[in-house]
Amino acid sequence: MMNAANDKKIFKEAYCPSCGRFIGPREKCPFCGAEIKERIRLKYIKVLALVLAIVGVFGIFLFSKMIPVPTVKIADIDASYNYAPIRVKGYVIEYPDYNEESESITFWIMDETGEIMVKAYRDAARELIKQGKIPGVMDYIDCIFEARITRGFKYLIIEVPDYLTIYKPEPEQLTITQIIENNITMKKAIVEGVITSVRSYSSGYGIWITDGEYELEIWVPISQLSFFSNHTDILDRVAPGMKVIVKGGLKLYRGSPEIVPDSLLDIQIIEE
Amino acid sequence: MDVVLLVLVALAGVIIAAFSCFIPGLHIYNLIAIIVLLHLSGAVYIDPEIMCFLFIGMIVGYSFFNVITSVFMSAPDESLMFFIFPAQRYFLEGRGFEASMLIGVGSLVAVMFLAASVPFLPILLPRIWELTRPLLGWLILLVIVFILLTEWPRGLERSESRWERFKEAWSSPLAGFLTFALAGFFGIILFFKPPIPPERGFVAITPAFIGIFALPWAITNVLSKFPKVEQHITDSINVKVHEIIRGGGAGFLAGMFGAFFPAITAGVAGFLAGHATAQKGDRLFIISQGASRAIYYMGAFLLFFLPTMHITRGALAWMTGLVFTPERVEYYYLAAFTMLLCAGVSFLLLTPITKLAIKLVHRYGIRTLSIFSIISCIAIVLVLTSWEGLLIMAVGAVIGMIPLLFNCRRSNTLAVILVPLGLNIIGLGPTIAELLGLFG
Amino acid sequence: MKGIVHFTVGATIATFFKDVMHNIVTAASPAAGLPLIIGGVYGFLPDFVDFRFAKYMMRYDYVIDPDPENPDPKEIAETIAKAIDEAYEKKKSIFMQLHTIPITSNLWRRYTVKFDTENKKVIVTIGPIVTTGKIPYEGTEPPNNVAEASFKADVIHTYEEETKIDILSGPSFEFRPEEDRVKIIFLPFHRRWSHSFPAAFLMALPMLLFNVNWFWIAFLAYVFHIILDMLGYMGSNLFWPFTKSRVRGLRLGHSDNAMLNFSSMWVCVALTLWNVNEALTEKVFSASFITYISYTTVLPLLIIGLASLVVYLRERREKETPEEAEVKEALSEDLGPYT
Repeated sequence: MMNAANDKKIFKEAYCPSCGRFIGPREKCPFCGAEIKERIRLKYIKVLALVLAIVGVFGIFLFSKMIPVPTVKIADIDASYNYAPIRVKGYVIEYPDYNEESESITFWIMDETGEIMVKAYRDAARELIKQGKIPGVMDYIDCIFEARITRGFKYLIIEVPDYLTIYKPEPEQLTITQIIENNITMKKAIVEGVITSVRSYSSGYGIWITDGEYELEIWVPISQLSFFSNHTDILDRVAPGMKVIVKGGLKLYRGSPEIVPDSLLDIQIIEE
Repeated sequence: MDVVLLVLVALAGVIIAAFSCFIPGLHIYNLIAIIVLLHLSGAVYIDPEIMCFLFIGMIVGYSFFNVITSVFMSAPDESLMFFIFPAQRYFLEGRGFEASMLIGVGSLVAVMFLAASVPFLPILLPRIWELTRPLLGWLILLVIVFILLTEWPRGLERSESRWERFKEAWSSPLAGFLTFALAGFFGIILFFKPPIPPERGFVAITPAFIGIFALPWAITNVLSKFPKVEQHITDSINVKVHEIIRGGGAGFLAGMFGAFFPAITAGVAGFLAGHATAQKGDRLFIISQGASRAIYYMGAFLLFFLPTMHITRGALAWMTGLVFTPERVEYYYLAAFTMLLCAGVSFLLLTPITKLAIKLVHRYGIRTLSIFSIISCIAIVLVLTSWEGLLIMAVGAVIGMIPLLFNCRRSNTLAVILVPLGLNIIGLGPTIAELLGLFG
Repeated sequence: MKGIVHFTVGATIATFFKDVMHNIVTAASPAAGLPLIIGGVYGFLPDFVDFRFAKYMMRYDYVIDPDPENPDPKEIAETIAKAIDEAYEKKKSIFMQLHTIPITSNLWRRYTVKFDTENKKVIVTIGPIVTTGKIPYEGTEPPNNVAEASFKADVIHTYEEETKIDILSGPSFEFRPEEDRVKIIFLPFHRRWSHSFPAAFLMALPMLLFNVNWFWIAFLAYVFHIILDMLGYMGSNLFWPFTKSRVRGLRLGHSDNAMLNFSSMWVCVALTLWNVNEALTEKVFSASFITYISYTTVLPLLIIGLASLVVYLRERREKETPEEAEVKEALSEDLGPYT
C-alpha cells in the first residue's frame, strides 16, 4: 500500500497551481479561471498527432510511388536484398517449367553479370498463363521482382505479372549445318528441316530434324502442354518424313545445340 | 562442429544481450542485423556456424533481459505492449524487482516446457502445418478482426444525453480503428515498396518497428514527469507454484503459436492466450506474458533447426538463413540444449542485471535514459537503413503516439505487419499493391 | 465464457460446412475463408451489442455522481433507498447509474454499496483513493465516510458482498418490482434482448442476401453463444420479445473459469483440424473421430483437468452465493484492461 500523506506530489495535478483548490482532471480551474500550465494541452497534441500521422503515411505513400524501382544487376543481388523490390533485365536461358501441384512457374535468366532463377506462384502463375506471358528461350525480359534469399540460395519472384515485359528479338534464318558447325547458341533462330524421329520423355518431346547433313533437336518442354493446352495437336501430327519450320531459341544441351520453340504454335508443318 | 566452442560462443551471446538491454529501444534484432550486414559486406568475417550460435545466446539473453528495459525504462518492443502496463504498475509501487523476477520465472518455466517438447516437435509440427496451411491467411484475418472487436470504449460516461455518452465512449475505439487503418496502410507500403535502398531490403520494416514500438514510450517519458520511486529488492516473490506453472504453460502455448504461425507476434499470441485461459490479476498476466515472449523468440529460432521441416519464422531465422543452413539433425538438438543452458544462465544473471538497472535508473533518471534511447534509435536506423529509414521511423513514431494520446489499445499498431502479411497469404497482396500504383 | 471462446466457437462452426472447407483448401476464391470471419463475428456479437451499444442506450431514472472533492455517503445511500421504494410504490422498474469518482487521470476515489436485506438498509462507504490498478493509498479515507439509509420494501436476490465502485465507468442497477418485493438486477442492459433466439434469427437475416450457408453459420454461431452463456449463472432472456426476464443459467460453471475457457478453445481447435483433414484430398492423418478426439482432446484435457482439480482442492474458494456469481460473470464479460 502506498502512503499518500507523505507524497503530495502524486496528487499535485489534482489541484489548481494558482488558487490551490481541488480541480480533479480539469484543464482549466473553474474557480479562478487559471489555465493549468503544467499540463500539456493534450487536445492540441492529439490533433497534431492525428494530422501528422495521416500526412506522414500519405507522404510516405507518395514518396514510395515516386521513387523508381532500382534496376539491379544479377551479380549485385546478395542476401541484404532479401524482400526488396528490384527491377532486373536479362535473357531467358531456360524455358519456363511448370509444377502443377504447386502451380508455380520457374525459369532462369541471365545478364552480363550472372544467372538467377525466377519463380511465379499460384495467382501470379495463373495470370501469366492467362495473359500468355510465357517467355521463350533467349527472349529478353524486363520485370519488377521481389528478391528472395533463402538458406543462401537467391531467386526472384514475380508478384505482379503486369510488370513483366517480354521482348522477342527478331529471329535469324539459319540452317542446321550453320548451327552445328558454328555451335551457335544463345540466339533466336528460324530453322527448317525434315523430321527423322519423334521421341517422348517425361520432361518433354524431342523432335529431331535434319537438313541432309546434320541433325538438330527441337526440344518441346512438357510445360508447354500446360501453357498452350489448346494447341497440343501439333505433337500428335508430327511424324518422321515431314518437313517443318520452327522458330525458337538456340541453347546448349549436353554440349550440343538444340532449339526450343517459344510455343507449340511456333512449330509449323510445311510438307507432310 | 566444435560443440564446446559453439556453446561458449552462445554464452558470449548472452553477455552481449545483457549489455544491450541497457540501451532502451535497441532490439536484439537490430544488433544482429548489424552483425549480418558487416559479414555480408565483407567488412568482418565471422564463421557462419559460430554466428548462428552467437545469435542463439543473444536471443535467449534478450528474452530474459529486455524486460528490464521495459519495466524500468519503459521502452518495450511490440511483444511487451500487453504487459507493460501491469509491470509498470509494479514499478510505480516500488516492486519493479519483483516484476522482473516474475517475468524471468515465467520465461524459465516456459523454456522447460519447450525443452520437454523438443522430441515431439519434429513429429507433430509437419502435420499441424499441413492442416493449418490452407487456413493461414484467414487465421491472421481472424486475429485482426478479434483485436478490432475487443477494442473497448473508455470514458467516464457522464453526459446525460445517451448520444453524448455513446460518442464519448466510442471516441477512443474509433481512434484505435484509425490507428489500425493507418498502421495497416503503412505496412502495405513498407511491405511492397519500402522507400529505402534495395540493399537494405532485409531490414525494410525495422525503422517502422522502432518508430512505432520503441519511440512513443521514450517520447512520453521525456515529456512526462516520471516520479522517482524507490525500488524494493526482495529475496522472495509473491506467487504460488501452480500460478507459475499455469502462467508458464499458457505462455508456452501462446509463444509457440506465435513462433509457428507467421505474422502472429509474441504480443498478439500472449494477448490471445490471456483471454483463452481467462487470466485474472497482474501476477498471472506478467508471468504468462514473460513466458510467451521468451518462447516466441526462442521457439521461432528453434524451428529454424527443425529437421523435418524447412521453416523460417521470425526475423532472426531469416537473417541467419542468409548466411547459414543447419544441414544436420544434430544442430536441432544442440540448439535446443544450448538454449536451455543459456536460459538458465540468463535467469541467474537476471538478478544482478536488475539490480544494476535499478541503480542506473535511480542515478540518471528515466528521462535521461529515454533521451539516450531516442538517440540510440536514430543511430541504429541510420546505420541499418539510411535517411529514408529515419523518415519511416518518424512516421511510425507518430502512429505509435496515437494510442497513448487517445488511450486506445496499442495492439492496433500491429496492423503494420498483420495486414500486409494477411493480405499476402490470402493472395490479395500484389493486387492491392498494384491498385495503389506502388510500382509506378 | 470469455469473448475469445465465443469468437472461436463461431469460427469453428463455419468449418463444419463442407462447401466452405472445400473452398478454403482449394483456395477457390480470395473470399473463400470469409465464412470463418462471419462465424467469429456472430459468435462474439451478443456481448458486443450489449457492451458497445445497449449500455449507452440506457435511460436512467437516477444518476449518482458523487462530488470528487466531497463525496457524501448519506446522499448516495438515501438516493438508492429512495429508488428502491419508488420501484415498490409505483410498481415500475427504476434504473440507476452509479458513476465513479475520478480524482486525476490515474486516480479514483473508491466507494462501496452494500444491500443489507435483513435490516432493509443500504450502507455506503467512501473508501480510499486508488490507482487505475486498484491499489489503494493508505490513509486517504475521508472522515465520516460511512452512511446508511433505510428502505421500506422487501428486497430479493441481493448480494452479500459489497459492490465496489472505483475505476473507469461504474455499474448500473434495475430495481424491479416483482410481486411484493423489489428485485435488484445488476447490469440491466446485459443479456436482455441481445441474448435471445429471435434476436439470433434477426441478426443473421442480412446474411441471406449473400449466401444461405452464411446465414446458417451466423445464426448457429449466435445461438451457440447463447447456449454457452446458459451454462453459467446469469442466464438470458431467451425468447424476447415474448418474455421479459432472464431465465436463470444452469450454473454448471463460472464463465471466467480458466479450465472451462481453455478446454473450450482446445476442443474448437481439435474440431477445426479434424474438419480441415476431412476436406483435404490427401489426408494428413487417418483415424476415426473417436480415436482422434480421445488422443488429441480427451486425454490431454483429462490430465490438465486433474491437475487443476488438485490445485482447486488445495485452495478451495470461499462459498459464494449464486447472486455473487452472477455479478462476477457479468463483470467478466465487460472487457476492460487486462480482464
